[in-house]
Amino acid sequence: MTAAGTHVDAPDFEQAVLHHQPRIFRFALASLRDRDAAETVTQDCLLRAHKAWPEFRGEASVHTWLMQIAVNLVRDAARSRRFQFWKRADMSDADAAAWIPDPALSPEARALARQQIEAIWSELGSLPERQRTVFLLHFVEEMTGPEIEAATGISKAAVKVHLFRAVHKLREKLGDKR
Amino acid sequence: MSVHLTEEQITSWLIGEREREYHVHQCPDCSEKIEAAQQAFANFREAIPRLRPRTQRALFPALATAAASLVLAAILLHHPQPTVEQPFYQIPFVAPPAPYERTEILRMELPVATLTAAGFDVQPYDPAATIPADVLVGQDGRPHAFRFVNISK
Repeated sequence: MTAAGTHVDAPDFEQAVLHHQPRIFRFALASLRDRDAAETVTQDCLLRAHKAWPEFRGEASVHTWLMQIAVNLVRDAARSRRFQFWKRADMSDADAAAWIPDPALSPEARALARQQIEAIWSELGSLPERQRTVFLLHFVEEMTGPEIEAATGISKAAVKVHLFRAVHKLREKLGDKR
Repeated sequence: MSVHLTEEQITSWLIGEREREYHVHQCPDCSEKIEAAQQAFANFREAIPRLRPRTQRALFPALATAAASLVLAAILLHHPQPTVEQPFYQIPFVAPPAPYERTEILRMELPVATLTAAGFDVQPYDPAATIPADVLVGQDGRPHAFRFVNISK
């Protein structure tokens, strides 16, 4: 609480950070495919959010608002990394061995799950930026169409088009992993 | 059983445009395709925080070692009797780390053969031997500075 009467609810912000930080990091990591860059984007996102927290009026959910900041930071980070050819060259694949699927699955099902994850990760890297962003916000962050529209500034119709194209390409890639 | 959903219709289903709902509920083939894709996407969501680039920085240790080797060789020329845990020497041709950049110190074994190949006379000459050094490496894998470690000669 400030002397000027502006309500700055610090504990609420801390709770928001605790709840949303992993999601911001997940989105940044899947977008940039680089842990260091994802951590930087997450920190910058929360720093900007902290500065703007007193002005946050709740017109969108906290998650949508934070993702809006994250989407812009990811976009900036991707642009600044465009010429870092060594980074791009390194991020072509993922190590699905680091992920442990449901142990209740059969060995064959677990192997299939890993192959599918590698295929999605690989194909995501080759999608246009908007398709990738919309896919991640919908299927990973489980945001609705209007939330994605608010977070990205992309129109509702365009969100659908980008999402359809992204999913269709990923399904084609998954086609031989079934 | 009516005609199966096209691939485009299945994709539309996955993004929430649910056409021919009755058929999907009655058709094991179509519902299986939809559920398989939904499961793959759900697995992906769970896996992301644990995914890591397979070849991340694979190139950089080699480059860092090579660059550090050359600089170390130059320093050795001017400091023939280095001591244990010397201060870090900044590598002059590499831009300093950005304020927000994360750095790490990597202990490397710099090959005598590399020093010799760079034109330095290392005595006694043992091409299989190495010289230990701590190299300060930036977020992008570039070496910024280094120090000698436990060099006794």
